[in-house]
Amino acid sequence: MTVHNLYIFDRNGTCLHYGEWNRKKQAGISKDEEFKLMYGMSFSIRSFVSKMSPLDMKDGFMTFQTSRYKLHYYETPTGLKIIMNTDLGVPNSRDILHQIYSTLYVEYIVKNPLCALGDTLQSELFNSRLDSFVRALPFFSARAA
Amino acid sequence: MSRQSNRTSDSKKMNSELFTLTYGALVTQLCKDYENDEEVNKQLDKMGYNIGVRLIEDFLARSSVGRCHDFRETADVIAKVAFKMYLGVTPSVTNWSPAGDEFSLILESNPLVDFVELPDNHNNLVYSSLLCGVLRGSLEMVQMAVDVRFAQDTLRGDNVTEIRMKFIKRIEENLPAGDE
Amino acid sequence: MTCLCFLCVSRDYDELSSIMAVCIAVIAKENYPLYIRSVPTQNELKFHYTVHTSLDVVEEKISSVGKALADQRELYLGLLYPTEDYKVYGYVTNSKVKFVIVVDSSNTSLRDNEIRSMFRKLHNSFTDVMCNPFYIPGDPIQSKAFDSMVSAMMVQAC
Repeated sequence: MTVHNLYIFDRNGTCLHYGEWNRKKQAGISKDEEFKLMYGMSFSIRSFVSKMSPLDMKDGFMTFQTSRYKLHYYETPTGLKIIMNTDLGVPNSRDILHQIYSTLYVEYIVKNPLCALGDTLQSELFNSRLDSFVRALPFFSARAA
Repeated sequence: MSRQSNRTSDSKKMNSELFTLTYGALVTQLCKDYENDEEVNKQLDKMGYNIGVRLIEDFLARSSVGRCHDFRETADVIAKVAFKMYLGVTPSVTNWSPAGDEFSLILESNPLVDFVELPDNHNNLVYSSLLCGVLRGSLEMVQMAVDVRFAQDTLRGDNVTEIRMKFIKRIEENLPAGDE
Repeated sequence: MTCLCFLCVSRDYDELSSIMAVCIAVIAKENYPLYIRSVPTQNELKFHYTVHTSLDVVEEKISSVGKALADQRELYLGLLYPTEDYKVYGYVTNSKVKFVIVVDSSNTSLRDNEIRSMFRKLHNSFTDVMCNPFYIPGDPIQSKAFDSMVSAMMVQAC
């Protein structure tokens, strides 16, 4: 089990943060291009599933998986989106994404008045905390499956 | 007023006098700098907005509140959860307009004005207009455009403090321009 | 004037009922008046004079206490001096702001405790004034809340 990568998007679709751990294959396009694709896809899936939903939806979609990876999605009411790709063995990690939001993003970015919101995150502290947080996850293992 | 720390989740008390005096110093300094009540109100509102934009994130992280279904639920959450959490008071929600898009928050006591007596030469000053900005800023972040103003204020001799909130529109989320 | 009696909390009201202050003054650290009010029927200037004189006694009382003991000094100074018609009481805060209360000496029933509690109320009210962000320290006190509290102390028993 392992974590491949993690994206944080703000409500306008700007990629605030990108982190990569055990990613063996790159998309072959520029990072900006990749962020746009990732955001566009999550945006489309989200609006698609909410249109198709037989009941009023509150939390949007949470995860989808392919034969090789699993994508975990978390969105706050303020429109912040956290997307994490892992391999297939990882259980539903909504809580973990919420924790990244509440204990890392809010603590180190929102509460730091010098960090502009809506811009790529420059905070070293946040980056290192996030990195150690992900590395400490129970399903994080350096040996990629 | 109690403030809670996120990391340890045990409640951390903050001295409410210090908070009240800090806000008082801020307002009087603004009055000195701008010499015009309307301008001071505007500045307080602007500061409040900037606070609200960030405060909502903290609020969502700490409370388990999700997206609200309607404006009534929003009103309840503001009064019972948010005011309690940040100001230590619980205003009552009343005076709904028939259309359900406008309501009042009635504050029995307003911790911002504990020692304040408004001097006669500040007739137009809305002392607590920071609160309006906070409410406007934080609701804007959850896709609600609202109009917030003070309808009654104990500083002007009214019995209670009344904050009037009017729902204007839902801010729709759109794909950013240039993306397909 | 009886309408002002509601300003006293019921218990305090009992304590104060027997006292009538004829003049209440707040003096700044630098010995200029921040607030002085006397009953309107009598000669105002006379009270200003009385209060002014009392400051010397206050000064004397403070300086008579040794340096080492100065920290434990009680804020209430007690009776400063009696005149033919009045008794003058003093109180000094740790920030050297002086409160002076003048009462009629015909008022014999009054006890030290009552004067003490008046000063305490005065001090609390003064603290609230100081906490008002619009009050500039050192300026004359122009507060409605302070005014009404003082009026309550000057009102005769009803």
